[in-house]
Amino acid sequence: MSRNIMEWMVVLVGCSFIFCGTAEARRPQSPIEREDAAETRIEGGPKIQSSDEELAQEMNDEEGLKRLGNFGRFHIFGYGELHYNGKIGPTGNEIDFHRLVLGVGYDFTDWLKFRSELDFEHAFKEPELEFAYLDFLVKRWANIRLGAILVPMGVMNQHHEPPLFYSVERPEVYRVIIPTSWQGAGVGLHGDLPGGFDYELYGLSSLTAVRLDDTGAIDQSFSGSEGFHDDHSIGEAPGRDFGAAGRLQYRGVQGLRLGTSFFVGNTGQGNGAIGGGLLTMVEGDAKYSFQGIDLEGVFAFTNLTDAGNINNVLIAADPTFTDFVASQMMGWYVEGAYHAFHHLLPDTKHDLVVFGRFEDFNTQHKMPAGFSADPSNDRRTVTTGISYLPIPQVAIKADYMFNWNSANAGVDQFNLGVGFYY
Amino acid sequence: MSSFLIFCSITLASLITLTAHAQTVFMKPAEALKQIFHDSKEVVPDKKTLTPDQKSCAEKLLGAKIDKLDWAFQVARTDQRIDGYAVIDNEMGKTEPITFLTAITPLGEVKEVEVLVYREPYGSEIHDARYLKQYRGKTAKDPVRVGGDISNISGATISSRSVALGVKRDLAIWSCVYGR
Repeated sequence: MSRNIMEWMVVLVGCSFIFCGTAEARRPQSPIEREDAAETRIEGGPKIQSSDEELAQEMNDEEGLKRLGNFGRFHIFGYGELHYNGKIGPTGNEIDFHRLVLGVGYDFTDWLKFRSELDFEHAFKEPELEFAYLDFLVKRWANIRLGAILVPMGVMNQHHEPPLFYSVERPEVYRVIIPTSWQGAGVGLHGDLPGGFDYELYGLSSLTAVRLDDTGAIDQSFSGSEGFHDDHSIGEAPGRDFGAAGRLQYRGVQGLRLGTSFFVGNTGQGNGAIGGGLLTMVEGDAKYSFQGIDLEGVFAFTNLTDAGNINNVLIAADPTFTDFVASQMMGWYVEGAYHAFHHLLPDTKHDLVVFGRFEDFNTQHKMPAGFSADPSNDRRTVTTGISYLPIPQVAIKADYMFNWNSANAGVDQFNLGVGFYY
Repeated sequence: MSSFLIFCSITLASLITLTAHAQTVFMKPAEALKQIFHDSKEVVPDKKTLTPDQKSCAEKLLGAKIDKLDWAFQVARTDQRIDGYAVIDNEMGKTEPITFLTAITPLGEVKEVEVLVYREPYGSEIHDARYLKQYRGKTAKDPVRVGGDISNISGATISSRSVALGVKRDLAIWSCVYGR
């Protein structure tokens, strides 16, 4: 099955390259501009005294662009977040330097760029590659990305700098249904399409349902409570099963963003006791911003074949294993946010966001035959809080999470956090 | 796995056959000036170096420091009448600079903002007329702030903010150089 998907990708992407290439051959172009570069010639109009060269000089002005982390072709960027999670009730509280991400980029030329991010999660205890890829900027509608790529599943999997979302922790749907930050090794295309659309389409390495250590014990695996979250990175993933991922997005109307994403790929990674373990994930999202108000909705659904076999493999490795993997997971959330200074203090540069989010997600939406769901995995969460941004790159956040589940065992949580990007 | 190798070789082969291109150049500055000041007779350069007074005046209006002192304004004229001003400026997006042109009326209001060069693979929607026309009429006294009087492009938040900051800076500098 995985092979079929790859062949499909080959045909699709291959055809688009061939099309790209022939289109290129037909029409000679200036080497410094892309086809969409406005070759507009305005008829008439004023006499421009400055020469094109003088005007072009202003377009490459370095002086106005001095920024920490930019050393010519070499860029340093990244983000970090520090969290305090206070669980209401008997369990312990924790302070966590949740993430410190260091990004390094190098521009070989202005059309061939390298970008990478290394994530030191939980205060250097879990160093992890977030992404490392080469971007070949070819056409506005067809650019090639090659390497360890963040899977284009929803918006937050790729754009998760902490000041860009309002809660201390990422939404639960982006943790247990979509395993943010999820990446795979592969290659594909991304670009802008006419009419306000843009797309990404990649063939990349898939997830691994069960990973056993040398002694045959479970190292990392899918689970009933955390979904695919424990296995979202390449690490030393077996390079056997490949999948396809894509996203189509529309931003043609001011303030509106609509998007949909998919992933299809086997996760058995050659384990005969599992079979294929075909994972299909689909996602849809919408966001609308107006008058200082942001409204957002996200929906995600996953289907996994051979989930029963995966559970049997896990039980064989650990007879006490009960956190059974589901054959379907589902989750959605709606969020409303208000930028309080929009009307109160229209002149200020500071931003104070008051937000509320309702999430409904079930990591054991449908169980394989012979395995029953744990009602505590059918969860609902209301998160409400504030995010204060003295400058756009820094956010100080506080929120409260009301957690319910169908086993009536939800533990509420109070979170404080500070996040930044540079 | 073999299909993956085929896939990779197609990619590489395609790369060789394709001519590589630079960043997205939306418009050449001379064409942008002609379009914006179409009814004027000429556009003449007017290089300004900020005096310490002008610098602190503009920094106060902007609420941030201004490192660049030399600004090459363009003045659109018809005989003795000034039709407007324009300046080409650059501001950092997420990792790459965005080059844009701010045209200002003789009264100090934004006449037009044009994105000339966009260098990042994402967020190029900010060159869209629907986003840029929001700036028309803004003066140095307006907040010119994304999430405030400027709405952002979802998913291109950082680029939206960069352009807003740049336009505000151009208005502040214009106001302290020509506005009094």
